This record gives sequence, C-alpha cells and structure tokens, in this order.
Amino acid sequence: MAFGLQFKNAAADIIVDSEFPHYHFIGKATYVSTMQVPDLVDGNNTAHSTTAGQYLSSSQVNGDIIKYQVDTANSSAPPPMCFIKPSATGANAPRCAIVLTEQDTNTTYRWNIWVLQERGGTHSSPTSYTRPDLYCFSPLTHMTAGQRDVGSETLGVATFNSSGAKTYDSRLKPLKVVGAGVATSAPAVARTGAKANSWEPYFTVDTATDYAFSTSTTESNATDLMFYAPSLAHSCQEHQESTDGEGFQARGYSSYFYAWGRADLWYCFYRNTFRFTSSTNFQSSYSIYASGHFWKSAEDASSIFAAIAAAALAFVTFGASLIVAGAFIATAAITAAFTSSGTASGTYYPYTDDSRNRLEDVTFLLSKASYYD
Amino acid sequence: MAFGYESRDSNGNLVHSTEDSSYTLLGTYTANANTDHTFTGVPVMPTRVVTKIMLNQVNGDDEAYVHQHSLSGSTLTATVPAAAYDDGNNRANTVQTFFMVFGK
Repeated sequence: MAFGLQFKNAAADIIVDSEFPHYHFIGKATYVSTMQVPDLVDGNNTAHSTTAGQYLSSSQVNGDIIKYQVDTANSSAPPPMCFIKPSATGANAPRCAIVLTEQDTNTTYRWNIWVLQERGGTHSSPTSYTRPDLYCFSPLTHMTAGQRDVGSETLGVATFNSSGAKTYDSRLKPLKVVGAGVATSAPAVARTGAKANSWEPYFTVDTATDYAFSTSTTESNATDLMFYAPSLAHSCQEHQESTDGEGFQARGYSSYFYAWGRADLWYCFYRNTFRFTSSTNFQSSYSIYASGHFWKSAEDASSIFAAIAAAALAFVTFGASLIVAGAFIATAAITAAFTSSGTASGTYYPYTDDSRNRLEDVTFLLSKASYYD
Repeated sequence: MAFGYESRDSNGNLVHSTEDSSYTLLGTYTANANTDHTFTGVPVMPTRVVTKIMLNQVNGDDEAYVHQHSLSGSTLTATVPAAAYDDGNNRANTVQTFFMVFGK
C-alpha cells in the first residue's frame, strides 16, 4: 500500500486495511413470521378408481421458512451479510440456511432474508425447532444512522480510505471471522433410502457431507459459533407408483366391464442446509422446501387392456402432465394458500431426480455470537 | 499480545484484536442473471476466499443455477454454467449472483 493503515496478526495476515470496506455489526435481523410452502396435492378420480392415498407421504415434512428483515441506508448498499446463530448444535440439531436474499419492494433499502429450517415429526404431526438468530453486518458507508450510532463511546480507532470514506471503526463491532472452510460439494441427492412403501414413499433426508474446520485458538464452544454459508445447491427427487383394477358394473341391459388405472407422482424440492455437528465439524445436507403429490386416473369400459394402457401412458408422461399440476397451482384455493404463506407459487418441480449447483464451492465463514451480544 | 492491534471500549472491554480474527473483506461484486462478467481490481492477498449468494431467488419453477467463478490475480470472472444454456445455446436459467471476496 502506498499510504493508509494496516493491522496484521501474528501470522502476518492483514486484518484491517484502511482501503477495504470492513463489515460491522448492524444488529440482529428482525423476525417477521414463519411459514411453509403449502401442500401441493391434487389429482383426478374416475368412477371406479381407488381413492386411497390422496395425501402427502408422512415423510414429506416441509421445513419452516423463517422470514427476517434488515434495513440498510441506501440503494447502493450490498445485501447484508447475515450469520446464522443456530438454536442448537450436534448430530441431531436442525439443519438450516439462508435461502432467499432480496430487496423488499414495499420499504426502501430493506432486505428480506429467509431461512429454511427443517422440521421434525411427520407430515400430519410436524414439530418445529426454535428459530435461529441472524447476526447481520454491513460496510460503514451503508449503515443507517441508528446502526452507526456509537452512543457516548469516545474511545477507539477509525480508518478512512483514500476517498475519505470511513472504512473501520472499532466502536461499531467490526466483523471478526474466526475461521473459514470450503464445502466443496453438497450431496448428489437428498435421500438414498428405500423409495417405496405403498402410499408412503420415503423422502427423509439421509445424505450429508462433513467438513472439518478450525478456528483461532480462543474458540472452542460450538454453541457460540455462527456461520455464514448461503444455500446454493438444490435437489428435486420423486417417486412414481401405478395401480389398476377391473370389475363388472351391473346395470341391466347396460351392464359393462371396466378397467381403471392410476399413476401417482410424489416429489420433494430440497435446498442445501447446514449445521454444526461439533466445534470442529460443519455438515452440509438438505432440507425439504416443498412437497407434492399428484395422481392421474383413467378408466375405460370398452377394453380392460385399453384402460391399463391409458394408465401406463399416464405414468410415462407424468412430466408433461405437470402442465395439469401447473393448472392446479393456478386454482383459487392454492393461489390463496401461496398468498397466505407469502411464498412464491409454483410446482417446485423444476427438474426430475437431480440436483443443481451441488459442485459449487460454499465458503463458510465462522464467527462468534458472544462478540456481538 | 506480543504485537499486533487491539481496541477496547471506555470500560476496558476488548472490542477487536488482530489475534481473534482472520479474514477481511476485500470487495463485493454483482453478476446479473444470465450474463457473464469480468470484475477487475480485486485486491490481491496471499490467501483469498470467495463467497456467493443467489439474489432474489426462491422460485418454484426454474432451475436456478448460480454463476461459476474463478479468481486469478486481480480478476474475478463469473460465468453462466454450460449446463444452464437453453436449447438455442443462449445463456439462461442463471440467477443474479452476489460475490464477496475475503482475504488475509
């Protein structure tokens, strides 16, 4: 550097440089509400087709979408950097991650931050976990007047860049990154377990990848750690079943034989989520964001085999039949459900049995909540 | 501490120390949806890491690819993944991506 000020640690790492826009603590994000994506369930029945199993599988438990808001000072402010302070750590802690960062359309300079946190239990009896706290950071030049307020504190150090903008102020709790690591890949899929169980296909997440990390010597308490690790990867997995039957409908001279067939499609849309399993291990996995179950029934009275063939056709063309699902999404009831939940409407079936972004490195940065409490 | 920097508030409480922190922010960059970008002037440090987030994205019906990136010298390159191209070989299906580069 030609001029300015740098502070280095014992390893000669540059910790403060007056030219860089250091992040400072702007407070915890304001909790707004907790929602879930509404259940996506629909299908058609014929006169004789089975009506069994017309619900989500018990393992299709959508996670909580926990909504927060953070204010910044101006339109050029970058999105706030939000560290998740989990409500629990360990092998059974709920996985969570930030899944949405967007500017609010109603309030100027406000950011909406959504956290997806898995739920336990079953679809009919889900259990939520305590929501995490978000510790948020922003450069000094984008902090609101309230966030920049140092009260009566007069002691400290401030640096300014070559343009005269303040870049560091020790009175405003600069971000301290106590460790970092790279989650080089999310699991290829969210669940690998047995798929079929009649009307209860298996969607519970059963894959995870562990990443060891180290922190500076003073940090060893996992319950005090918080992480910054955006959710990039997502996965969509499905299960299909088909069933059929036949019979005789007595109707005097109009009696007839019939056959029916039904094809079912269950699926879940997962997002990459994380948890601390210990003070030295960061785990990457998935949580269910949305769940669907659609079915298609067909019946034929002219030929048993024709009906079964129709059902088989339905089975193999389920991708196309999502147009039908899309039409269902547009119905008044489900539109209202999406509006009520404040989540984006859609089928949440963007692709079949695959994942996206899973090989994109997720750099996770670690800090300590007690620095800012 | 033998050397380095630490600051304390008027009550003597430690606020910041070069001993309890590692990375510092070098810069932020935003890549627009479905567009390749080359950002220059990224400060060079011996060790750097890049984080990225998808902006404005939780949509139920798109594939939501995130930009791939590479950092070399003072240049950060963000590209639309080949898998995200549409049938007409156009850049598609990729969300707006916000990058932060940290270093030490």
